Amino acid sequence: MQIDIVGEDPVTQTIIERLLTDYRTDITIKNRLPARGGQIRNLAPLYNKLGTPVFLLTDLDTHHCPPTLIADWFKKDPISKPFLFRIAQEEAETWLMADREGFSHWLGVAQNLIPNPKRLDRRKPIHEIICPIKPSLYMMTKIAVHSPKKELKAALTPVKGASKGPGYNSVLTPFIHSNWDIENARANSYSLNKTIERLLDFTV
Amino acid sequence: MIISNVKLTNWKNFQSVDVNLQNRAFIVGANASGKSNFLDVFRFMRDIVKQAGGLQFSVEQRGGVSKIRCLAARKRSDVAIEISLTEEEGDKQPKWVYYLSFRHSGGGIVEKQATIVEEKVINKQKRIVAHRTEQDVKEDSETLKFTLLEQPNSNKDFREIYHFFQNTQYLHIVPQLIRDSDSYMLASNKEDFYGRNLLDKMDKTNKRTRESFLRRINDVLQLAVPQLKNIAFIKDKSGTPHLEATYEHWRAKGAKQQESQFSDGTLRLIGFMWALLDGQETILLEEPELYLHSAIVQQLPEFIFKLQRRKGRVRQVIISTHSYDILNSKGIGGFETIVLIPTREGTKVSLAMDLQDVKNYLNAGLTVAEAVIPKVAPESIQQILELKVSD
Repeated sequence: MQIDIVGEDPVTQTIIERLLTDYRTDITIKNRLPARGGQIRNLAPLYNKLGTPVFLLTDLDTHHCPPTLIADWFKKDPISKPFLFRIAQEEAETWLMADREGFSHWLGVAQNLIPNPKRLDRRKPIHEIICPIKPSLYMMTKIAVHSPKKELKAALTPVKGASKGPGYNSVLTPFIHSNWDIENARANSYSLNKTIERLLDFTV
Repeated sequence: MIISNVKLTNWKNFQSVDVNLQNRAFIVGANASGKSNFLDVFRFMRDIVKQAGGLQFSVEQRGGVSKIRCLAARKRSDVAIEISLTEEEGDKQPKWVYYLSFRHSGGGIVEKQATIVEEKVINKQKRIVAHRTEQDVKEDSETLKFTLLEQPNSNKDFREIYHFFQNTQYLHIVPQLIRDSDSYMLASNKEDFYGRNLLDKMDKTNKRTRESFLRRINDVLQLAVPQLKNIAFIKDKSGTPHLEATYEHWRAKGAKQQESQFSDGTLRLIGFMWALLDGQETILLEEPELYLHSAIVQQLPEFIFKLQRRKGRVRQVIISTHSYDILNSKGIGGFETIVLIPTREGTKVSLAMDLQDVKNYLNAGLTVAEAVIPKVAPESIQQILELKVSD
């Protein structure tokens, strides 16, 4: 099967790529969409209509929960079958940090700098790592700053007035490709675990 | 007339092409996919028919047949071009079909040259107006050096094609070259690839036309570069042509500036507008987005659409572009977008609408930018981030 992958930045796209290589070797990537990351929200309803396999990963961000994001993006349209629409709680970066051992080891920082997963639901066993601020920002300004690895620290720490570190993608994508332990991460992230399950079951 | 179809065999990086063109054609492809080489076919035709041009000149300009012939070429040793011209977009039957194929000959003590293998002209009634092949008894190595098209004695019955290609234009303005007056002198008798002769062209245009064109250019500049006012054409003491404008600043009268002081974007915009206004037949624009602010670039597709239509005629515009801002215009369709995709067998050329996945995206409502740019992006470009750049 061929699939279009949709992610708003290289980090998200690389995560999708890794998930496909690890869990669905029968699927190959057709095109990487969108041409401009910022367009993803406007384009999602159109991808939903394509009728061909599409794997989209986006961040929950400020939405209260996945259903509110879906209602906001798609209004009343149901999500079509070949459209694997997944939402990371709260950001794709959370999934990376969810591999607490791997991520902290890679940065060379203490594991307890990464928040422990919290149970979000009283009845269902839903665990997620919740950061007090936007997770990517937390990762850059509260975790990476303590890294003894100068190169990584410089790449990840945003300069004044910037929202991401100057080498953000170029250090995180290699991590995703070669260091990220997905099995380890899924144990700490319900949304990642669910995504893997859906991906394993995905058919057109 | 417009170029309605192009067929190519072994032309540069295209082994085989058959593509339809409309009033507007947007050529999209990755770097080195052959956008300029595709446009070069039309320039090649123009070089054949222009004054002091001809087939040998055209071929030589491009470094000989061996530089033109596709590296992926297989059996056929010749290079073939077939161009169909119609009166208007949508005409079923072409008014003219011109076919030319040539190959390399010579070497050793025999002079190297391009030798015509076949030349054919077909008119609207599908009648063959002219036809010759290498095997014809009346042909010899000397006659096969010249196309019928380039010779006024032999192109009488299809002179329209000759005039058409003479009047096509190519534009790829390099602002630095307009500014640099030394290269201006040097370039005056040469082909104007990069707009070096823009000022010279303006000089040769009759005064009323020139002033009317400049008025329109001023209208546009008023909006795009508001601090620059009243562009005018002048000549200095030595008779060298210049553009002059008033640059407004805090002094009441502003200051005069000449083209050497204009910004890159301003010069591109002026050259680009001039080319669109001047001339009747097909114009080739290479990356019109260069040096321009994205707010201006976004307006280009509609602006070009308007400029194409003058005095009840539509002038064909063929544009090569990398610009998301241009291609994101909702007014650009899948039949006017030509997609170049490199393969081991040379670059493949297709209409966006003929590519299954792109068609699917377009039908779902994505713009050409969103449907085509991801398709032509180099497959592993993201890995550029993972390259080791130091030891």
